[in-house]
Order: sequence, then C-alpha cells, then structure tokens
Amino acid sequence: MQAAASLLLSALALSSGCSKGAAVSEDPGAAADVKTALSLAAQGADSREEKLLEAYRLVEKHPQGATLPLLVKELDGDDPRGAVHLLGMLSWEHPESAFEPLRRLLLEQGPPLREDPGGFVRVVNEVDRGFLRGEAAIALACLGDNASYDRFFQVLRSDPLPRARQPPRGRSVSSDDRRRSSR
Amino acid sequence: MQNFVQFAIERLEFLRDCSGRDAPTVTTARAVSRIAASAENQVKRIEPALRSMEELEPIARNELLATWSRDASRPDIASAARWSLEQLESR
Repeated sequence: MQAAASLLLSALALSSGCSKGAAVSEDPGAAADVKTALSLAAQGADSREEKLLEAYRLVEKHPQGATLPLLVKELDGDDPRGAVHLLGMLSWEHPESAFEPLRRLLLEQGPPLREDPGGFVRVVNEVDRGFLRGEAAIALACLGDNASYDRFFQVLRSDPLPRARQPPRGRSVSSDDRRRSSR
Repeated sequence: MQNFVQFAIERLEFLRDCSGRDAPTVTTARAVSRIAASAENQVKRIEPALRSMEELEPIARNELLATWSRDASRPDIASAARWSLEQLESR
C-alpha cells in the first residue's frame, strides 16, 4: 500500500514536472523564435544592432505569456546575457517572475562566461562575470524592481569589478548609502 | 565598459518617482529609462522603446519629455528624454 502510494506520488510529481515543461513550450512557434532571438542577442548589448532588432521583432510577435517564461528560464542557463538584455530592453506587463533570477545574477560571482560569437573562425571569448552583473542591474532597473535598490548599493560597495564600484555620477557614496549597503 | 550600476540607480530612482502616476506617464518613464545610457547612434537598439511612446497622446507625452530633459540631477534620463523628443518630433 505504501509502495503504491509512493508510486502514485512519483507519477504525480513526474506529470506535474511534464506539464510545467509543456507550459513553457506550449507554443512551438514562440519557442523557436525565442531560441533564435536568444542566439541573435547572445552578446547582450554588445550584439550587432541588426541582430538585436531582429531579436526584438521575433520576441514581440508573440504574446508575452508565451515568451516571458522562456526568457526567464534562460536566466539559469550557461550564458544568460541574451535573456538579460531582451528582458531589460523590451516592455513587459508583468515581469515579476524575472526578478528573483536577475537578483541572483546581480550578485553572482564565478568563472568568466564563455561566449561563442559565431562566424567562420571559431573563437570562444571569455567575458568577465562583472559585465553580466552590470547587465542584470540595468535589466532590474528597467523592469522597475524597487527591491533591488539596496542591492545596487551593495554592488557599489563591494563588487570585485572596479568600474562597478564607482559611485553614481555627481554624488559620492554617502554614509546613508553605506548604511543601506551594509544591511 | 560603462558604469552599469550608476545607470541602474538613476533609472530605478526615476521610475520610483514616476510610479503611481497615470498610465501614459509610467509608460513614457519606462521607455525613457530603457533609452537612457544607450548610445545615441544606436537607434535600432531602442526602437521598441520609441515605438511604445509613439502610441501615446503626443502633446502630454512631449511635455513630460521636455520636463525630464531639464532635470540636471539625472543627466542620463535628461539626455534620453531630450533625444527621444527630437526623434519623435522628426518622425
């Protein structure tokens, strides 16, 4: 009896996992276009303009409910720069599901990202993860995540990438800011 | 590399000040915040933001942009608002 119940629970868990996966890829057209858009925007803001414009078009032609979960899922992937850029630059009615993974990227340390820009000669670039933290900051700001405000000051205080620590233009990091960042 | 966090703080403070206002103001503020810190010769990158502003009532939108463009305390937002105004008026 206990074994049967356990089996039933496992089956339920499996089916719930499948349906969750199905929800993300429910619209095959959206999934294909988002995949292409991510490859076009793989270098974030450093991607070529023509590629970015096409990436925006591919994402915007589908309902946000179909594309947002796919982009959010990519934030946990090996190279999330494309997803971070698209989330930050496009307009979203309800971007809340992106906040938590972006907040994680804002503070995440680790080895450099490995980036393949494509082309005839295969070269893999290493990108300092500080760039990704910066791009995550921009995306969180564009999406209006007020809860990240204090974290931005934390980055200003302690980010290992020196340029990320510069205080905002025209002001120094005040004692209030320091107190806020040390919370 | 531009100072990402500096831009992020300015944008977020700006959006926070505009939150709770009417929908066209919030939409315009979001668009301007996305345009801020993009190089001005990168029109294509910020096309979605410009397009979202084109859909708004032009007189009120342009007044907002003109007001923000004079805000010396937020240089990136002011620059983006000024540039957006020029782009929208020339379309």
